[in-house]
Amino acid sequence: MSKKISTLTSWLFITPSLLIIGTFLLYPLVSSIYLSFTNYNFVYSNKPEFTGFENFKNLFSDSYFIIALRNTFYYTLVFFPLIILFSFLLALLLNSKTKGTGFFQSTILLPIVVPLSLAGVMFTWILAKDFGILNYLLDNILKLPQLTHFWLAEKETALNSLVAVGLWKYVGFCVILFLSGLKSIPGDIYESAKVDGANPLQRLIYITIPNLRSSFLLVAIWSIIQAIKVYDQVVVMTKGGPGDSTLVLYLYAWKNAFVYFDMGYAQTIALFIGALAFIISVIFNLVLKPERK
Amino acid sequence: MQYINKYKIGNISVIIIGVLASLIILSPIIWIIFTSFKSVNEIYSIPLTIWPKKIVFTNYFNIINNLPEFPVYFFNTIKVTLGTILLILPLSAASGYALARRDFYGKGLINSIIIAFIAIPYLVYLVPIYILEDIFKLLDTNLGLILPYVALNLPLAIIIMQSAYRELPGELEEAAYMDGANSFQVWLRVLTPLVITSLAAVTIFTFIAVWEEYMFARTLMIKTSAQTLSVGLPNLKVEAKSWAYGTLSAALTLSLMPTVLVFVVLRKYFIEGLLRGSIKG
Repeated sequence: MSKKISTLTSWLFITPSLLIIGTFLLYPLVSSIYLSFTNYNFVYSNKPEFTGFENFKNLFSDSYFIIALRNTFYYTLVFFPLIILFSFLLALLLNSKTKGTGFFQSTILLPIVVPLSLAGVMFTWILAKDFGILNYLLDNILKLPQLTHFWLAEKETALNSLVAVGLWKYVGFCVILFLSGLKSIPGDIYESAKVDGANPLQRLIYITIPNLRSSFLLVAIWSIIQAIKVYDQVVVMTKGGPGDSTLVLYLYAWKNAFVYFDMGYAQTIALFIGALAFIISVIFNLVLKPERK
Repeated sequence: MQYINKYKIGNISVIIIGVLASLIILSPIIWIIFTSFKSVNEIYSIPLTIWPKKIVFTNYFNIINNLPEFPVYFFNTIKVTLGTILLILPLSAASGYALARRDFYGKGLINSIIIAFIAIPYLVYLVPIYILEDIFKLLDTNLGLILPYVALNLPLAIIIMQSAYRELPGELEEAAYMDGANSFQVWLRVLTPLVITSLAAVTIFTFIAVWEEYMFARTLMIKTSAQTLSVGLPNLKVEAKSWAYGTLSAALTLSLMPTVLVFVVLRKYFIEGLLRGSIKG
C-alpha cells in the first residue's frame, strides 16, 4: 500500500470528527475570542463593532462582576475542602474488605445520575420555609427552632445551600476517584509497616496520604473547576438572589449574553473563566507533581 | 482472639457509617418518592408525615391529565441522548483508531488540539453556537442539541478510544492485512470488537453528560416542544402553584427512574466510565 493512499485513508477516518469539532468547538472558540474584543448586541446590531480591550478594562470596574467573582470564590472555598474531606474519609472507610461496601459505594454514587437541575428542584422543596422537611426536622423533631431558616431567601444561607446541593451530587464521584487511588497502593507496604509496629494512624499519615498524592491532585483540580463552573442549581434554586448573594460567574456571563444581549462582554467573562480554570490546573500541577518523584 | 474482636469492631463501624452516609445521600430522593404518593392535603399539613398515611396515585394521574409537556420532555431527552451516543460512538472509534494505529501527516497537531479542547469550559462556546444555530435554523430542534453535545463530548471520547486501540497488539492487524483485508475491515471487524469495554465507557459518560446537561439545553431550546427534562421540569416548578409539589414529585420520580435503573443494572460499567471520564474540564 502506498504511503499516499494510507495517509488519505487515515484522513477519511478522522475527517468526520474534525468537521464536528471544527464547527462546534474550534469555530466557536475563535469567534469567542474575536467577540470579546467587540461590542455586539445580538438583538439591535447587525454585526460586532470592534472596541479593542475595552471589555477587558470594564471587567474590573464592573461591580457586578466583582460580586460574581467573590461569590464564585466563596462557593469554591467552601465546596472544595469539604468535598475532599468527606470523600477522602468515606473512601478510607469503603476501602475495607467488609461485606456490603460495594452496596454503600453505589448508593453514595447514585446522585451522579440525578441531573443537577432536577436536584435543584428536589432541594428547593426540601429547603422550603413552610412545608420543607429540613425546617420541620430542625424545629419539631430536633427541637432546634433557632436553626430553621428561609434557606434560599436569606442572604446568609442561600449560597451555602447551593454548595450543599453540589456536595450531595458529587461526593460519591470523588469517593470513586479516591478509591481507585487507594486500590493502587500495594498491600505489602502496609504489611511491612504493621510488622514494624506502625499503628493505623501512622500508616494513614506515612503511607496512605503520600501515596494518594495524584488522587488528591485530581480531586482538587476537578472540584475547583467544577465549583468555578457552578450554574445549574443556581438558576433553578435562586436565580442569583436574594439580592446578588448567589450571582456566580457563569450566571453573570449567561445573563450578559441572553438577558442584556451584550454578547461581546459575555464572551470576555467566559474567556476569563476559561483562563482561570487553566491557570488553576497549571498551578496545581506545578505545586503537587514534582514532589511525587 | 484480640485481633478478631478488633476486626469485628472495625466491620461494625464501617457498616454503621456506611448506612448513615447512604441514608443521608438517599434521603432527598426517598423523600420525593414518598411525597409523590401523598395527597395534596397531606403534603401541606403539619405535622409532616414521612411515610404516606394513605397511598394515592392522584399526582401521577395529574401528570397524564394536566401535564402534556411531560411526555414531550421525556421523549426529547431520550431522542437527544440516543442521537448523541449513536453519533459519538462511530466518530470516536474511527478517530481513535486513526490516531492510535496509523501514521499520517498532521497527527501530532490534531492530537494536541483535541487535548486542548478538553480543558475549555463549555460556556466559551455557548454564544457562538447560539448565533450559528440561529443562522442555520437549528434552534428548537433535536439536532440543534445533538450536534453541540457530540462536539462537547467528542474530544474526551476520542482520547479514551485512542488509548484503547493503542493497547491492542500489532500482530492482529498484520495477520488481517496478510489475509487481504482493507483498513476499514481491519478497523471494524478485527480491532473494534476488542475495545467494546471502552465503547461502553464512552456510552456511559456521554449518557450521563447529555441526560443532565442544562445550560445549552436551556439556551438553545426555547420552545416547550423542544425542551428536555432537565430544563422543562424546573420550569414547571415556576409555572404551577396550585398542585405544586405533589405533581412535581411524581414527575421527578418518573424522570429519575430510567437513569437510576440503568445505573443499578450497569453499576460496574458506570464506575469505569466515570473514572475514564474524570479528566474532563
